[in-house]
Amino acid sequence: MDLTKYERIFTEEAGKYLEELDRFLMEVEKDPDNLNLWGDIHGKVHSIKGMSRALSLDKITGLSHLMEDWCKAFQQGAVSASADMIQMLFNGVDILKGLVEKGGKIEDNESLGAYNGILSQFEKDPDQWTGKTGQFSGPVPAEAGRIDHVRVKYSLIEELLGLSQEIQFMEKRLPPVFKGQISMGFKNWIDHYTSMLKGLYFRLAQLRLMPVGDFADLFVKPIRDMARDYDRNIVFDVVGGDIEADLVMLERLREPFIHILRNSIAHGIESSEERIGMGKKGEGRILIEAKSEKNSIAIKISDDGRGISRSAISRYLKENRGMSGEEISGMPEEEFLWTIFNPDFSSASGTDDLAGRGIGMSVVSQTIKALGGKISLRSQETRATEFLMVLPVSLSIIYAISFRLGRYVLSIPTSKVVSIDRKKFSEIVKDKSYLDIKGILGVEGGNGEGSLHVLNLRYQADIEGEKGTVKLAVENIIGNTPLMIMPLGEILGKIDAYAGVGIMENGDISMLLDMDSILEGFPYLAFPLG
Amino acid sequence: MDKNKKKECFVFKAFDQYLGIRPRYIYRVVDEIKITPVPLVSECYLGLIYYRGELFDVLQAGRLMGKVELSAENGRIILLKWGGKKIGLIPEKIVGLTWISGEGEGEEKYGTDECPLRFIEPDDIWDMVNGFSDGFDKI
Repeated sequence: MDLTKYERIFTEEAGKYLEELDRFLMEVEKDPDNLNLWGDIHGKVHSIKGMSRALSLDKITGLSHLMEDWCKAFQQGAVSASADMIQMLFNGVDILKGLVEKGGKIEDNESLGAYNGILSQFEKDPDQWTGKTGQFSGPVPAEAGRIDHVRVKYSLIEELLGLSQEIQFMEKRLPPVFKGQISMGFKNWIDHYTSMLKGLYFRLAQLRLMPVGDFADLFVKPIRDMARDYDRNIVFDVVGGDIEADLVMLERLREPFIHILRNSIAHGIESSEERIGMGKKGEGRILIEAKSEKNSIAIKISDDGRGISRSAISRYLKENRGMSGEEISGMPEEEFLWTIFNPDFSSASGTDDLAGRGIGMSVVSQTIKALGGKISLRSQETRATEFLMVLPVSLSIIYAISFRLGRYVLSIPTSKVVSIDRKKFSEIVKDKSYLDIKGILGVEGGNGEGSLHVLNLRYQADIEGEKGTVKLAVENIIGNTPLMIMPLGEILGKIDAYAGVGIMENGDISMLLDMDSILEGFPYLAFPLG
Repeated sequence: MDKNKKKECFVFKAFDQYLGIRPRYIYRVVDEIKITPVPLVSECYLGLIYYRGELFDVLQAGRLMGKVELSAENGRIILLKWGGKKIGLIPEKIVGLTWISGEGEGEEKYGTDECPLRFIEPDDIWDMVNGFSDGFDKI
């Protein structure tokens, strides 16, 4: 498993906790007998220990473990914390900060000496400790940290967006302005002003977006904890994590996700021994996949566990719906599996027998419905289960490579672009591996002489079972720019080649191409350049 | 003519005839808006405009109704909104708001060419659009 991402998250989270610890320690310095404050301090140190242990950052785990013992003693009131003891904790926090910054490593003898020194002090029970603190300062720079992030309440973002929308509505109420009615200078000023307002809204709207990958990261720790509780060996992967979705929607998906994941771990994925006995890999896999579709975002949670127990569903249908075996076997597969979303499914059936998948699943489906989305379910007994949620996109901003092709301005999501080259037109014409995008889109006009930009794209359409890359030649690249994606209307929605309409920051329009659809329509590569 | 029987109507000319539409469907008449062309559409579809936070498909009214030649008055666009649908139309000429007889369809004449007036509903235009867009290229 690639731990780099989790290490990055750890650095961010632990850094945040350590800053909070500094604040709490300053408070407790003034009120050393405040057991609640010691509870908060204990909790933060404990969290750092847990996170570092998960990533095998032993030096951080070792120190935070000993510091936790002290905090626990203070929290329980067993020992009253002296000013020197609190200073020891400050020093410990400083050393932890240095360790977090350096990925848990100690790179020089001086730092190692400080680390070992403070460790030997914390090894003593606080009521036995009589030391002084001066010599145990850690490898931490004395200057204040750089400010590159600030915390902002989500409600403030909502408020700013609301105000920005109000201003846009005011713009709508502005009467139309025709030539000759006002001076050109005034008209230019209005155009510039309204364009700036769009830009403001555009940037504010980005604050409301969160990459699905960051959202999925919220589940790393719960999955790890649940896997440990149920003695399961699980890998957790995310595909399409760079796709951004509305924070409000993701927040509402948190509980349903936890529910599905808990069921996957508790009842879906088998123990390593059982899996190996079944010819599976000992390690179970949970996968979250996000895909941006025309006017929606599709998120799939799948596992390679034992699937949903069909016999349990049949039993429920017989006992609670009075259905006969013949009627049950005649049910369409989708309808049969949908039984688990019935509100009384869990209460009427044993959770163990049902592999737990019915419990509260009605709440999951209700949440998705409330968000205006749809959930579907597929299950293969002994092999896999997958929940597919298709949710409407209320707001979507993506980065895309925008370019000109003839008289058109088009875009492709940056995540699809592997690289961009520049090639001579004469070379491109000879090369048969280019996708004839001009021909496909019916773009007229020659490429002329000179050079063209070449976009090397990755695509997901299977060609001989493998993903691959494809090359497009375009005339002029506008840039890698953020686009606010608006849904295709009914008219353009009939054309499969488009994924949406992109609005650039200056209000210009660019059609977002759906390269997967285009390549599905033309699943071969050797095209002459049109 | 009994004035009580007259109704207000927004009149424009397309395909050599005058068309009347109820004013409540007219959202705006705009000019000098940049129309972004879109590939894979028929000739009557001129492109998209982003007007005050909303997208409008812009169609050439004459071509939509079957005329091949293009002519437009100052490139003005009539933006229509009704029943959750919206569209932009570029007519050959805009007459504007006028009172016409409620039962005199075909009797009112406009312009030096004395063309008859026809009332239309936005859904009639939408049906014409669908007739065209069903034939848009499929990928």
